[in-house]
Order: sequence, then C-alpha cells, then structure tokens
Amino acid sequence: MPGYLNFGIIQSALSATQQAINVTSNNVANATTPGYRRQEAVLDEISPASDGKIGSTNFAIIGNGVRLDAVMRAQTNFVDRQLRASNGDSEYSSSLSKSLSQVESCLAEPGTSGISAALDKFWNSWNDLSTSPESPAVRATVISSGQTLANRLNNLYMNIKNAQSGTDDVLTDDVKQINEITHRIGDLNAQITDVLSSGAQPNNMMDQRDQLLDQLSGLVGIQVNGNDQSGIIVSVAGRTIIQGSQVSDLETQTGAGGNLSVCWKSDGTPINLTTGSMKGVLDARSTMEGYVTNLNTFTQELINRVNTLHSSGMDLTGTQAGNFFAGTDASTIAVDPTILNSPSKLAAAGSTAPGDNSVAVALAGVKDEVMPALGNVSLTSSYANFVTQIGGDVKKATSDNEVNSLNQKQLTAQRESISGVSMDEEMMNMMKFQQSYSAAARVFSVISSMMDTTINMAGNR
Amino acid sequence: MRISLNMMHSQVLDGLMSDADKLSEAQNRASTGKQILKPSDDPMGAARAMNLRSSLSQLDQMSRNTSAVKNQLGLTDNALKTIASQLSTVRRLAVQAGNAALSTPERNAILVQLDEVSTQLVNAGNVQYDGKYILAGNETRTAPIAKNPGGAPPYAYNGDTGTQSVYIAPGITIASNITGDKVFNMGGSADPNTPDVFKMIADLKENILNDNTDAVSKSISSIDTNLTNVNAIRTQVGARINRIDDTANQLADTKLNMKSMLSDTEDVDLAQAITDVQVRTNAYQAAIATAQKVFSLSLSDYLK
Repeated sequence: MPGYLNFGIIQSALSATQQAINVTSNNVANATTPGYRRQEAVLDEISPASDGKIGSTNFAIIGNGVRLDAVMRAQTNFVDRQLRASNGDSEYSSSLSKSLSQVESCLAEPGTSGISAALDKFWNSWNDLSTSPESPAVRATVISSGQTLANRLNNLYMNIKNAQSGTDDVLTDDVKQINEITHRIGDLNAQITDVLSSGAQPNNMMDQRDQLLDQLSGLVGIQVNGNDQSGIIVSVAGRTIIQGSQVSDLETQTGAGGNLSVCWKSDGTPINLTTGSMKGVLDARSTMEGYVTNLNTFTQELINRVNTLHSSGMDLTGTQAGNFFAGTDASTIAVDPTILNSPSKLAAAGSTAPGDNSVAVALAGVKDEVMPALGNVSLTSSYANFVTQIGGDVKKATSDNEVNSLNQKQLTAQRESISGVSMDEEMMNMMKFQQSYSAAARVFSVISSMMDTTINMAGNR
Repeated sequence: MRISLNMMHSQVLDGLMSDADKLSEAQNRASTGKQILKPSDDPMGAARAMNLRSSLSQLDQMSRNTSAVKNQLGLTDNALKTIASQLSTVRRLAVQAGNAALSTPERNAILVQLDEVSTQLVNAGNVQYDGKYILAGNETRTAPIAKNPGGAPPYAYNGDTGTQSVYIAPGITIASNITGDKVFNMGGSADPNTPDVFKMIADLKENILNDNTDAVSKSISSIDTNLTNVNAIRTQVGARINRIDDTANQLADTKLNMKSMLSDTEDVDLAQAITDVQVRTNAYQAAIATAQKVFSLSLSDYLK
C-alpha cells in the first residue's frame, strides 16, 4: 500500500514488545527456580508485501512490522555433557568419602579411647599380674581390661557392619529413585516430541527433562544421545536405559553373602557401574568388607596367641587353665565366661606354685611379639596399619571429592553463565522494551494526528 | 562472562561456606591442640602417633614394674643384710666360745644369744612383701623357713627354686626374687660341703654344750663360707638394683624423647594455630562484608 499510513506496523510493534516484556517478566519470576533456563524473545521483521518489481522479481521496500518469532531457551548442550560426566564423578567420590568417613569416626584414633589404647591397657595389666600373680585385685584388672578390649572390638565390628548394611537401604532407595526418574524422562520425551511436531516450543518440559537428567547423572552416570525431535537416548553403563518413551527398569537382587546387587529387571544382568553415587556406595561397601576381614584377622591372631599362652598355664588353684578369650572373630570375641565368673581361673603361672608368673610375663611379652600371620608385625603395629589404611582411603576419597566437586562447581557456573537469569540483563531488556514501547506509542499518536490532519483537510473542503 | 543471579548467590555462599569451614577447622585445632584429629588428617602421622602412644603406655607400665621389682629387691637386700649381720654375730660368738677358759654362765649366755640369732634368721628368711614370702621361690604363700618336724636338719626349706622374671624394659626381663635355699645353703644348695646355716648353728650349740672347743674353732670356716655366700648374693641383688636404676633412667630419657616426638606428630604449634584462627576469622568477616556489598547492589535501584 504505497503512500498509506500503516497502523498495522505500529500495532505489531506494541504487541511484540508486550510479549517480549512478558518473556522478561517470566525470566525475572523464575530467576531462582531450580532447573529454569533463561528464555529469549526472538523478534523478527514481518516480511513486507511486494512493493515493487525488478524484472520479473517482486521485491520489498518496507516491512510489515515486527512479530515474536519464537521464545528460545538458552542452549547449553556442550556444557551439559561435561557437567553430567562431572556430576557422576563428584557424586561418586562424595558418597564414597561420606560412607568411609563414617567408619573412620568409629575408630576414635589417634587417642586414648580406641582399640589401640585398650590393647595397651590389656598388655599392661598382664605386666601388673607378673609382679603380683597371687593378687585377686590385679586378676580382676586383667579380666576387666580383657573385657574392654573385647567390647571395643565388638563395637567397631558392629559399627562397620551397620555402615555396610546401611548401604543396602541406600541402594534400594536409589533404584526406586532411578526408576522413577527414568519413567518421567520417558514420558517427557514423548510429550516433547509431540509438542515439537505441532510446531510449538516445549521449553518448560525441556527444563524438567534436563533437571532429571542431571539427577540421574549424579546417581549412575549417563550418556545422552539422540535429538529432541525423536526423543533422546540415555545409556547407563553401556546399555540403553531410555529410548524415547521406552524405559528399562532396574531392580535390586540379594546376591551371595546377603548383599544387595543392582540388576537390569528385564534379564537380571548385574549393572556394571563406573561412576555415580550408587557406584560410590557399592565401592564403599566392598572396601568395608576388606576392613571387616582385616579386623577379623587381627582379632583371630589376638585370640589365638593369648589363648595358646593362657591355656598352657595353671590357674591359681593349680589346675590347667582354659582359654582366656572366647569367640573366633571381632564380632564374637569376649572374655571366657569361666574366667569372668571366677578370677582365680586366670592363669599367671606355668606351674602349680602360686608365685609363678611365667605365663603372665609371656602374655605381657606378646605386645612386642611379631606375628607372622599379620605380615611380621606386632599386634599393635598391625592395628595402627589398619587405622592408617582407613585414614588413607578416607583421605584419598575426600581429596578426590574436593577436586571433583570443584570441577562440578566450575561447570555449573559455566552453564549458569549461559542459561541462568541475570537480573542486570533482564532490567536492561525491560528498559529496552519499555523504551521501544513508548516510542511505538509515540509513533502511533503521530500517525493518529497525521490522520486527523488528513481527515480535517477533507472536512475543510 | 554473564553473571546470573543464581551464580552470584552460589558463589557468595560457596565462599562463605568454605571460609566458615576453614575457620571451624582452625578453631578445632586451636581448642584441641591437636593437628591430627582423625586418621585421614595424616594417615602416616596417625599411625606414628598410635605407635608412640602405645610405646609410652608401655614405658609407664615399665616404670610401675621397675618400682615394684625394686621395692621387692630392696626388701630382699634388707633381709640379706640382717642375715649377714646375724652370721657375723654367730662368728663372734664362735670365736668367743672357742676360748677354753669360759665359765658355764658365760657359755650359757652364748647359747641364749645363738637361739636369738636363729629366730632372727628365720624371721629374715620369712620376710614378706605385699603379702607374699619373697624368699620362697614361687611358693610365695608358704613360709619358706620352718621347723623340720623330723628334727634333723632343724629347719627345712618349704619354698621352691622358682624365679620370677618381670619386664623392666620392652624385651628385657629381670629376676625379681632370690630363693631362700641359696641364701641359707639349705641342702647344700650353695656349697655342698658346708652345712646349712641352721644346722651349722645347731651343731655349734651342741659343740659349745659339750665344751668341744676344737670343733667350735673348726666351725668358724663353715660360718665364713655361709657368710661369704650371703654377701655374694647381696652383691648380686645390689647389681640387679643398679641395673634397674640404670634402665629406669634410660626409660625416663626415652619417654621424654617419645613424648616430644608424639607432640611433634600430633600437637599443633599453638602460636600458629591461634594466628590461623585470627586469619580465618578475618577472611570470614571479609566474605560476609563482601556478601553484604554484593547483594546491596542492583541495577533496579538506579532505574527510574
């Protein structure tokens, strides 16, 4: 319409600006919503109708105004991939270090209330007995120090076992959570495909899906392929867990030794994880199994050595003595009930003479004895090594976790930098659209007055 | 770089948390005085600390052992001293009795004194420490020197030859007792050719009664043998006490060294720890002040 004033242009400007302000409002409103990604109003010029002609080709001179072409969601695919890998590693080391720290804190080492101190007191009490083998009071001390030692071993064993069985609950919860997440992702996949095919932009669904993928990556570590149009493909431990709306469930199974293992529900194959918090839990559990084995080996050596020497001796009544410790490992070790009930059954002597202290001295000497079954170190050193091993494991897991979580934080910041809502930016956009709106309104009033002029011209004729 | 609202918040929060964490750690170290609070703080250091603490506990026990053994040996030495002095008395009386010109009352006085000496010797032989007979070998609940119901020899040894070894240092034991049979030469256990102390005194009395001055004079050599034997044992006991003292001194030095090693391993340098707390407090305050500044800034405040 050459020569005519076009109200449509300015009307489109007012409408597009209002919509753009709405996008900004929505960004501001959701600035702190978890998983929300910044959206951007994409404005586009409305193609002009043909105004002229060069040869046989129509060409445009003036456009027909502006329209909101799309509301684009900030794209962070590259960072997402890295961040999800980092989530897996970070959650792995975090859950590993948390579980192992739990065991570490039960040790009460280095200090005076741990097993090491109880062991020292035990040897010391035999030394006391060697200086007064006939004394009932000293006998009672030996028995009570033996009891303390046995109790502390029992407690540590129970604490490690509890931490270990706690992992079963975590695994059960994790599997439940994973199945829930994968199903929701599957549903969202289908919905997103539908919405996209209708030509609309399912921004909020994609936000939700990305958030679920982040969660899933922390739990098990994931690989994401495919595209939004046909639905994404998620694989865990080299096997597809989500393809479009198809989802494979996981389940827990009780394996050998009563430990839960995580399997694919469809065929019962164990899942072979390499990262994620679930792998951390599994690794912590098997590490703790090693601790229990070591603790039991230590305890068995203690029981054997003490019992061998003790049962070679004579008690105060001149009778051949029995075992000092009952039980076979850290969970069952206790002072033999016979001795517990009558301290005179304790053997200090190698003969029937009441002043004979040879067995008490031999037992006091076990402190410095080297045990071949413990790698040719004394019981005391062996226990110190055990503590060092746990301390070393925790230290490694903790420092790994520091590195991993730093990496995760940096990647999160990188993504936030792209997809997070910056208030300054939104304020600037708001100003921009406000000014744009005021200008459009101003133009509208000018056009309007020009029209008036034209109409008045006609009226004056 | 775009800074989003979430980023700004999480960065400030991370900063605050890490500063607070470091502050609490520094406070913990300063208040406990320990730099190894758990094994993972320093796994090797923790093991060293555990081994040192265990050795220290053992050394404390060794001091208890040495003082117990030393007490017992000291008491043994006292008994031996009494025995030696009583034997000297016997010797003096024998020399006196060997003199043929003694009147009957004088002789009787010597016999009374010899009886008294016998009683003293039995008492010394049955010396007790902490409720046990320390010269009885392992038969510590039986008085070792008792009248022989058969009468010959007059006294019998009811103990055994057991010795009690006690640790006085890691890996080092010392015998804490002397057996009475050796002291009194019971059954000729110290010198088979010499009668035991009690038989010797009984014989001496017999000879004095019978006015056998020849035999009385001859018995002096037996007395000397027994006296030499007791003195030799005393020397042995003295040597043991010296060894215990030496060991105890050594252990005290070792203990001091170990304590300082344990402290080096485990304890914080307090000046450093307190400075750390101050530094961390300043950092934390700075972080809080920064947070306040950052959050008070907003473009919207400047837009009209």
